[in-house]
Amino acid sequence: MGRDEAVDVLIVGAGASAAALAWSLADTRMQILCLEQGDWVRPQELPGNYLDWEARHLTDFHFSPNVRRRPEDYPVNDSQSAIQVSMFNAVGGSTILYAAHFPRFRPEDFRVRSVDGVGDDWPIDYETLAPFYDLNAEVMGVSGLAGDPAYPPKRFPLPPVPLGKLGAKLAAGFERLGWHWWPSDSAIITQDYRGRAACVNAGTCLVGCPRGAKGSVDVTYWPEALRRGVRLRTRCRVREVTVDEQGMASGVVYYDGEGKEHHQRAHVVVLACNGIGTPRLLLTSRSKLFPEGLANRSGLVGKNLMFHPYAMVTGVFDEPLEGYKGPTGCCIMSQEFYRTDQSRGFARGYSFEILRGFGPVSTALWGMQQGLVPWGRNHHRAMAEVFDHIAGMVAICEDLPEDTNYVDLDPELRDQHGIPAPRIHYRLSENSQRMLAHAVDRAREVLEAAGARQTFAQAPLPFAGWHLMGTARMGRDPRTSVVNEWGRCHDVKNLFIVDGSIFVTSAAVNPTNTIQALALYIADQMKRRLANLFD
Amino acid sequence: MHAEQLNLDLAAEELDLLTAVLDALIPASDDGRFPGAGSLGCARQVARNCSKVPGLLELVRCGLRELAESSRARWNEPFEVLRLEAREQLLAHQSFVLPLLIQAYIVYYQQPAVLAALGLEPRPPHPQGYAMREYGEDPAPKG
Ligand SMILES: Cc1cc2nc3c(=O)[nH]c(=O)nc-3n(C[C@H](O)[C@H](O)[C@H](O)COP(=O)(O)OP(=O)(O)OC[C@H]3O[C@@H](n4cnc5c(N)ncnc54)[C@H](O)[C@@H]3O)c2cc1C
Ligand code: SF4
Repeated sequence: MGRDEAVDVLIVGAGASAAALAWSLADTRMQILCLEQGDWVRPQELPGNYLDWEARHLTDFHFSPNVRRRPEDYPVNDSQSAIQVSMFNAVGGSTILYAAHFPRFRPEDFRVRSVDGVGDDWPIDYETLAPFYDLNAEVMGVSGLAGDPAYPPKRFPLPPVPLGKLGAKLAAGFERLGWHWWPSDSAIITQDYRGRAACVNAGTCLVGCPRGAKGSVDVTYWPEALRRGVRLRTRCRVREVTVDEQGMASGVVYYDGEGKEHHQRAHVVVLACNGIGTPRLLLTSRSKLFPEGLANRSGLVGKNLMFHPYAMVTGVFDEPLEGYKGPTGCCIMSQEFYRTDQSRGFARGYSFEILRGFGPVSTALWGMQQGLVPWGRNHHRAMAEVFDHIAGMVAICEDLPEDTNYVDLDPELRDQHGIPAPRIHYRLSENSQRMLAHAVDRAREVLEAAGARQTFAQAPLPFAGWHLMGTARMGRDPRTSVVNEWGRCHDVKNLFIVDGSIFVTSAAVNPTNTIQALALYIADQMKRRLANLFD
Repeated sequence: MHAEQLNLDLAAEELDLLTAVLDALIPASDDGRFPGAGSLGCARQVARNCSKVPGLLELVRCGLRELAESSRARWNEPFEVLRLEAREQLLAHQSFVLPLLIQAYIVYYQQPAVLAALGLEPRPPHPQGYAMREYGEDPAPKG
């Protein structure tokens, strides 16, 4: 095994959280190295440049690593889970595929137990993260409209994405019902910004943005971090974090692109492998000192997995909506049903995110599934009635931490390096089922108020396990949490976690803005405490 | 990659039959704007796609053989020369139709001629994208 020279900070994973942390720590002039199992994505090779772009959703750009099966993917046994895991493994991580819908948590989301008696309170609050949300908006390039009454004041470097005919129609539906709606906060640049070219509304965001207008971190944080001296090694899959006799992390064992095993030594190790990859790595890092997995004395590594159950409701309208134009997942949103209302029969609530329409291939396949588009002589007439006449919306339901929902290691399934694959145990709670049913009814109502002649619902959405949270939660008490209030593992004082694993609760919004604000905050804490980081 | 390289081994008769099947699944539109999927030349690519789904190409080939036999048994004519209604009747009972249809839609709806018939520009979404009115003249939230 090759023994590599020790670095000051070793980051595992090069996704949303890693990039923000690396960028921030670059100030310190420490030696920072990131190991990523995937590679750079070449913009010219992204599907949006080709006519078969929709088809590639179903093959090499599928959301699920189990379907994609690229060399850099690892299998995930989610056969026992009500929701299937979605992620991408590359420089940029899952932000390569994400929709870039970029809301913040609301202040009360950090105090769920105090407010509603469910879940737990976070050891930090909104005010602590607010400056890091602002900083993240600057670097990622966030578009939005100030003044949303649901939030404390926020600033946006760029104006909102276009609503288009579809957004305006749905907004009118919300108005008719007197429900809250607001243009979405979007990590998509609506004007040229920091050397990146503005969005051209091509609508291929979920298979990557060849233009670099979507804020995936390979085009935002990474170029600046690398310019400032951070090193990034791709096609390096980490097998385990090693520890010394004192129980401190000493580095990691990884396989390089040629399959050669290395031991990379480091003074500080940071895990940023997402809410599935991080608990997997902690659980594969067993040793005499940590027989149940690294940093797992609480027994909570892998526990409390939260996804956000999604409901998708699609409306068919009489008139064309130009829904193939515009960023796929960013348009308008509503938080009308965000807070607990006991009369609804469930705790907490959900957001609505309005999507666009579908491209021709997706319309035909969806129409076939719904029995709207037959084959044969009536095909074209039926297709004309749905193509460009549909508007989709999703409800993002707050998922509460539950004992029944967790990640462990599969006893048999392994990746191509022989590393055990993660196994998902996840069932929908009563609370989630009631919330989904409520969300479907309200979504139908708003689509109908906007003029939809028919609506179709799917809940839960099966491949929507893209928000991966809770599996190494943050807290002050080492008995009930894995990391402390600034991301350091209670059990291993030079091991940090910065991805969605450290979430205490999930709120009812997409998590990436909060994941990155947390990573920037943790980096800031590390910088402030450099002299006594391990005390 | 080309069908030949993938060694699909579809005999000329199989390709002709698949072409006729595709023309029955997605026929030309009455107004002539939309071409039939078979006539448009989608068969090879559809077969190629089928070969990437485990077991599907074999299912389709078996289905095509059965179809040819049923056509002779019922109409005493090859499937390719039957009227559209007769083709539809025979296809209605074939288990390969639904999985084949998925591949047919995927291939058909990415053809430039079909995009143009749908009223879209016959090109990939990038790099030009689509013009949209900037945010500002839209309905404003009341807050
Ligand atoms: C289809 C889709 C749509 C989404 N839409 C949105 C959205 O609109 N808004 C939003 O907020 N969020 C969205 N998300 C979620 C968002 O992408 C994630 O929240 C975010 O990327 C998580 O950041 P992370 O740093 O925790 O992990 P990731 O970005 O997933 O990065 C983890 C990285 O670690 C690497 N890694 C893992 N294990 C190892 C190992 N052993 N060795 C080396 N490297 C390793 C992986 O290859 C990966 O690159 C979406 C996700 C998907 C898949
Ligand atoms: S719509 Fe905008 S953000 Fe999405 S892929 Fe196209 S240019 Fe990129």
